[in-house]
Amino acid sequence: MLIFKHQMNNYFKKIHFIARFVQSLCIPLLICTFMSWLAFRIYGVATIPAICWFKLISTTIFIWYSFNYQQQQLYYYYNLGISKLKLGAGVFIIDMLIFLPVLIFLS
Amino acid sequence: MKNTLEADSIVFEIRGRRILSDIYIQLETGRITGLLGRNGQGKSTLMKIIFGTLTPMSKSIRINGRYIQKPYLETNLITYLPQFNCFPADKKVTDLFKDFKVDYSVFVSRFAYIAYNSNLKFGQLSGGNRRFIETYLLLFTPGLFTLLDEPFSHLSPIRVQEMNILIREASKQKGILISDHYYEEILRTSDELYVLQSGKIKFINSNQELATSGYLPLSYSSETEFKSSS
Repeated sequence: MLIFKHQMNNYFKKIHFIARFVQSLCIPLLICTFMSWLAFRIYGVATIPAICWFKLISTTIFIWYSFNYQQQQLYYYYNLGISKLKLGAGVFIIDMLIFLPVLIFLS
Repeated sequence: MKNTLEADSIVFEIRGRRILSDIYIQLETGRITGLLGRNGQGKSTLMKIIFGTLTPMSKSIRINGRYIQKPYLETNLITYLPQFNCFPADKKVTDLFKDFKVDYSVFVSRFAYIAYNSNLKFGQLSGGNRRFIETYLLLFTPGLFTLLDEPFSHLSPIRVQEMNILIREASKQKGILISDHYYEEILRTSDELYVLQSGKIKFINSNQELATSGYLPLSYSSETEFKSSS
């Protein structure tokens, strides 16, 4: 039980660190989400494929930029036991968790 | 119980140029291993390969005989201080201590002049103080091994002396690999010493060997005498 509790604690800590990395990218990600929502409001359902591609490509570019131009800071996360893959996946998941509800509910 | 880290058969090339060739190095908890070498000989590269963030052509990293693909992903195993400041500038110093599970009050009781304000953000500190805190955290966070790449850079002589004491303290629990161009400090601190030269690693027993290895000028006389303790 104690080991399980310790593992869960570690697991939540890692999510917390990944969320912090996402935080460093939150302004450009939110701007893209807002632009997508605006396009959807103005041009309607027909724009959904284009919006999804736009969101996918822009998020990939922001992650790539962050990995290449903020390389130094990545060592902070590496020292906390978090890989590049987890950071990238974390950005994608959290971004989509914001993007999809915004698109669905606000429209 | 002593823990050992062995980095074996390391080969690394960049654009056809061989940087590291068949390297073997062993770290042990309770010991400080110095790593010297001229600029561009691959000291930082070797550390990144041991840490697991750089993939070479060939490598075998073993902890107590167990092969590990990416050591940095293992919980409480290894930490690495790169040459540059890597902690986020917008984070509070106290939060960094929490992240690395290091007691902030112990640090304050010893180095109050660095962390005089608990609301201080990391980016508000001077370059030297940032370096000092990063090294302190990576030395005292739970783990078996710490790799230090130029921990003395940006530090004033008195801080270098304090850092040497901290490294000695941490080495009671950990195995430490240290590299810096303040080689006198490395000679003073290390229990054993290696030199990287032309892609090969060489075990050093005395100052004379350090000079003949090409790291020091032959005419140079060092005030610090190195004697391998192994």
